[in-house]
Amino acid sequence: MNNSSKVSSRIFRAAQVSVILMLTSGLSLGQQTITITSPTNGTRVTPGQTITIQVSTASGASFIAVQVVGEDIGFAPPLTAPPYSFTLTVPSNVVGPRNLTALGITSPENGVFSPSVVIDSETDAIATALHLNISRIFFQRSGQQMPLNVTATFTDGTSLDITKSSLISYSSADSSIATVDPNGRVTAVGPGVTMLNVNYGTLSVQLKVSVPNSIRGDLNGDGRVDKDDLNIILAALNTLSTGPHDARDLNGDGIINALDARILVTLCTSMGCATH
Amino acid sequence: MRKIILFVAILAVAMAGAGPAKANTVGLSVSSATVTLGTTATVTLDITGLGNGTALGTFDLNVGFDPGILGFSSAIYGDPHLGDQLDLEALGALTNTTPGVGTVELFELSFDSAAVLASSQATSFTLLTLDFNPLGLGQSALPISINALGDQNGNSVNATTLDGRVTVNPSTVAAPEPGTVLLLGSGLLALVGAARKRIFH
Repeated sequence: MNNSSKVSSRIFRAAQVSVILMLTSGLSLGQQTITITSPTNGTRVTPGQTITIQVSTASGASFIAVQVVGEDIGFAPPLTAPPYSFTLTVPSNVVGPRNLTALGITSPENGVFSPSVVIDSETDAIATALHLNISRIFFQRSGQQMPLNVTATFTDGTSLDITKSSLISYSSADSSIATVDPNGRVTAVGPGVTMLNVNYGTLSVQLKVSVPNSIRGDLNGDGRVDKDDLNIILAALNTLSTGPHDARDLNGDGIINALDARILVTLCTSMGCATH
Repeated sequence: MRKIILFVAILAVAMAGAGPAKANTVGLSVSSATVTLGTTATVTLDITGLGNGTALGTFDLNVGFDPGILGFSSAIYGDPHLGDQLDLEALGALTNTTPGVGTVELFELSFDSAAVLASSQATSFTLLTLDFNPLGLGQSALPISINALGDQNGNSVNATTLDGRVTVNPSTVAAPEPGTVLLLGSGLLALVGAARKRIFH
């Protein structure tokens, strides 16, 4: 390694340490005298594409180094003098809007961030199938949340996580029961059963969501604990629960089995768990 | 050396004392049978060691068998003498039998109240009776595996298991064929003839 490489490496390490220090400790960030001029907000890129980022600084501003950070993309090596032109390659598995931020380092523990610029990484390939990480959600109570994960298979044979794609849309048939935000996070709102719809291009996939009343064991949200709720457990007997939110796993041991069925019997609101 | 032994002994006592309260451990066993081809092999699945506040509320078990020797025929839930101890209130316990290749899953869920099960259930009884059709000669083990075993409140119950076995023997001693009888008869006649010769000469 020659001397210039060593210096460059030291500056890069110092810049990374500074970024981490400032991000974690919130040390002093000055006024915005640094700006990303290219790409502009909303620029569409494709996964795997290498992009050039131009950064300008206010006249009179002095920086030890300038660096660019891409959300889920990484750091560009710092530059110690203008022109501040960087390249970053968007990882081939990154889909959806991501922030680019420039950082001007004024001293080892001080610097300024630029306003973030959002680029949108979307594939041009045609999706042939959508897959959800879960086929049904059984919440235990209102207020619980569950992230969805949506994967698409494309005509070129690739498979990508498109959960955060700007081209995906989420909707709930009844937002008084469950809502879903643009990032695919589902929130239980009130008792009942509803359907969530996920759309991407011409494809769509549905997901049933159950939010019980405040009654433990009322898995179908009808206000009673009976054989209808028991049948929901029996249909999933000896399978893993979908997570801590899974209302069918009444003892929370991670598996839906005969023990949960018996617990539900003890919670039944009528003798013999008879349905009304 | 003595110090080490003393230390280990103290540690063992301390650990025994510091451990959690010992849970009720029950015993699950499958009986054994010896049968012949053309008959039915009947075995029982039994539980022992309940009581002291622990009753059985549900079970989900698998019993294995050698499919080359036995074919599953049926499962009848309940104790032949005590009745179904998971249906003491006559609410109709939920049972489900799922036969597979070389295994059968046996499930029962009581709808009885926890209080009734705890106060009225026998401490040892037959969970069910299994019938198998012998398909070939030999011995088939009947191992038990537990998917879940729950008490009256749905708490997991610890259990030790004792596997059963079925021995299938040939149907009966084979009857000799007519030709064999003829051969045997002529042999006997020859013997009698030889004996008479010796006596009279």
